[in-house]
Amino acid sequence: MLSLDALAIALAIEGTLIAIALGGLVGLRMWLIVRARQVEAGVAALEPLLHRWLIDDVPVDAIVRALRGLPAHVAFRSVARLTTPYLTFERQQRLAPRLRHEPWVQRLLAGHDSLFWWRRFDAARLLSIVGDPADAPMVAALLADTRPAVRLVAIDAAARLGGALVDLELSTLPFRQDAVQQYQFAALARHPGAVVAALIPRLTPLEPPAQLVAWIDAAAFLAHPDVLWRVRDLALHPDAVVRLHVARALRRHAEPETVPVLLRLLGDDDWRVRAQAARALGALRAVSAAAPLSAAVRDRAWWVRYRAALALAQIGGEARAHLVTVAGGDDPLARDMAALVSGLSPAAVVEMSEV
Amino acid sequence: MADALQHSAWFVRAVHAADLGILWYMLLVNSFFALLLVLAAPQLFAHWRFGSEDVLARSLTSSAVPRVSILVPAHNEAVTIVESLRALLTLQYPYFEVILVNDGSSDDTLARLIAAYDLYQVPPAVMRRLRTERVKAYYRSRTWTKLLVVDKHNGGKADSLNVGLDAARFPYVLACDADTLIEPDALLRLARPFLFDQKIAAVGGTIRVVNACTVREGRVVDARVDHRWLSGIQTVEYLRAFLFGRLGWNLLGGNLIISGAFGLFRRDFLTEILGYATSTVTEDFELIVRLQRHLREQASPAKVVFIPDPVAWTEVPTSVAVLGRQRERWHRGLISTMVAHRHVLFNPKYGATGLIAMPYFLFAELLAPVVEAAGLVITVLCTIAGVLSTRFAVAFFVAAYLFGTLLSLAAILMEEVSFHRYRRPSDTARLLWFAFIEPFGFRQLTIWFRLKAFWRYVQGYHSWGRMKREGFGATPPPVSPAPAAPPSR
Repeated sequence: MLSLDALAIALAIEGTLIAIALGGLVGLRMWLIVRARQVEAGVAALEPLLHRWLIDDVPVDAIVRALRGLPAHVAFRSVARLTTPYLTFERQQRLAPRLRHEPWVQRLLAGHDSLFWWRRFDAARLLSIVGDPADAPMVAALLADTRPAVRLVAIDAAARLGGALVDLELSTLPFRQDAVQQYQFAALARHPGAVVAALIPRLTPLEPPAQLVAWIDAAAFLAHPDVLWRVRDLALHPDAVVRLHVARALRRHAEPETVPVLLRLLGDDDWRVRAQAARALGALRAVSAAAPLSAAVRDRAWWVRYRAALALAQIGGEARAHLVTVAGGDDPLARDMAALVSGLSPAAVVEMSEV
Repeated sequence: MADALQHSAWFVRAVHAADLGILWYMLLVNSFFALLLVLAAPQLFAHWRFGSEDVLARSLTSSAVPRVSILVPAHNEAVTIVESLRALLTLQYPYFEVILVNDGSSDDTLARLIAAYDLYQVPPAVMRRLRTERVKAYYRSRTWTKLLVVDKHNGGKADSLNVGLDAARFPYVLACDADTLIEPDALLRLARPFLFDQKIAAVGGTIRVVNACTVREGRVVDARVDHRWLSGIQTVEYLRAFLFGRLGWNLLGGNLIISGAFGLFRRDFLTEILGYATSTVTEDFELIVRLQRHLREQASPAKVVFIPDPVAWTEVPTSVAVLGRQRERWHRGLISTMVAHRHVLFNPKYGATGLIAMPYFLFAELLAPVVEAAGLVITVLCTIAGVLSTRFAVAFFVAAYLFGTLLSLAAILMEEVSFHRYRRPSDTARLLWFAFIEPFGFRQLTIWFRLKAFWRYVQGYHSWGRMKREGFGATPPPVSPAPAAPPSR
């Protein structure tokens, strides 16, 4: 049974812990306030210099000197906070080599293999600002980090450095869950030059379909003409899922040659391909597709009818007249769908066509 | 009578046995709370770092964040609905829609919505998969294309969420209450685990108490701690429950609660388990238990996690009667869910959920009021019988009191050094004051309310009880007569 002595010990421990908690409340708060003020002061000192550098009013050395005068953590936080909103990729490329060998940068980058994840996180973030090609092994190690947040920040660094690192990261994307895949690709695509170069050779029918669809989605996200041309060439792929992704991606490819490809996909055997082709034709405002789309409103699949009707509403003008005709026609399914979409406001049509 | 009790061998043996049981119970439960606290601290630090301004700002600029359908069930919410809906529609998030489900309100909730958001009736472009009460009409807004309002016959909150789930177009759904104010960047923060980790089924965020806060345009612009004891103590209680209670469970692998007022889910998982159960009064708890079961049965590695930095604000009861109805309902829901999923308990097939989380909820939550009440009764009986060691009893109560206070202080400390929402020192002082006085009165009240839940459960009572809302301090806009809905074709 619990004795009075044991309770007395428990009371003493609890009392001590309460005193520590109260002391910690005051002490930690004050420490955080001091650190936050330091960072604010650093940002306030750096911001006008960055503005002046952007209009070439001061040399880059002024920024380097200002940062050198700050404590390492303040210099890092200030740079991290200001580079994303203020500096273009080209400006960052000019600033990076001047900062890379600064003592405070060296000290923070030494944390890239630390046992503490937050040091690796900071090193990865800093590499996304100041990394150079010699840092590739460090970035590759951070890309394989056990902490997803560290990996994500390292992707930024990989995109900055390009080359083999981008290729390495692209090769892992198909094996990630959709949301992760899209987000990580978006991080890579902040520096599209390297990504386009790495993506083009992958857009070939020789790639396994499961991976090919990930590259096609990436191409759609990038919306770069060079990669979308390659996507268009995959429209005759034997795998229906690949054709489905091609149809979806081509809505971002506003070229006259795209419409005939999409019209062909509108007649595909697989209803999912037909639905996505209809959606893409609407997104491209393909006036010439009005007649085939109004035929697609009579499709046996609900989604094809829905997408085709939305596409006609989205194209507007003569296409909307087609929709009105279908709404008064004798096919009950087509008539219902046309009536449903005709009831939507223009804004709702745009929004519903988007998803 | 005292003499008779004192000399009764069975009484003394029974008291000893009960004493021993209660002491071991307190020791085990308190040790578990301490473990949760230890597990929560490093995670809180991690989320605080991830949620830093720079990382979050970069997420916001990404067009690759997952698309989210926000489901808002509303029943007789005319006082706050326009303001809280506006706050939802202006969230900082690139892609989302809001589906408000009017659950057969008998007040002018729908009329206010039609007037404030210029709603017009649209045909039902929805593929129905779940069985629900009949939907009367779907409305879209001329001013907010992100908004869909569904008007349906009354079927309860779970039924409304299921209607919203059917109408949702996006792969992720956020379930929130109509009287909940979500912070502008909270959705972005809540989506973070889905972007970082492949294996996430659902994410819960923090709920805080809005009662004394200044609210403008559906936003908390000045976070305050209420000076009134009931809502002040609940402010501390919420901090404790969210900042280390749920955070600690992340590492134990069996998070069983995501507040119905604020949780983000993968829609495919919710439709696989046929949405919310309409037979319970705590549909959020029941949903997560069922989801955890489903994930384990499917051998899915997906997890249910809690993160502390996304914040939503909610009104808490300010009268003992309303608090009583709320706590009684929560506990009744806990009992019915535990009974319904009893075969998960101690079942190794369900991993941490069966071996850690469910036993914890049985012993530390469901039975807690019974044990605490038994402790109080035994103390009274022993005092009457004259067998109470006063020094021991006082030392024990002080130890229990200090431990409870220590947990509250730890939660306040975690809040202060990480997110620091309450800026004024006077608010911190109030939090500390309420942490110290919580065990006097409030705790005993909640024990009584939770004990009543057992009785109501046995009686087969299935009501939510009426919740009175005060609103967010702003006068609702005047409502003009609802315009006639345009024909749907």
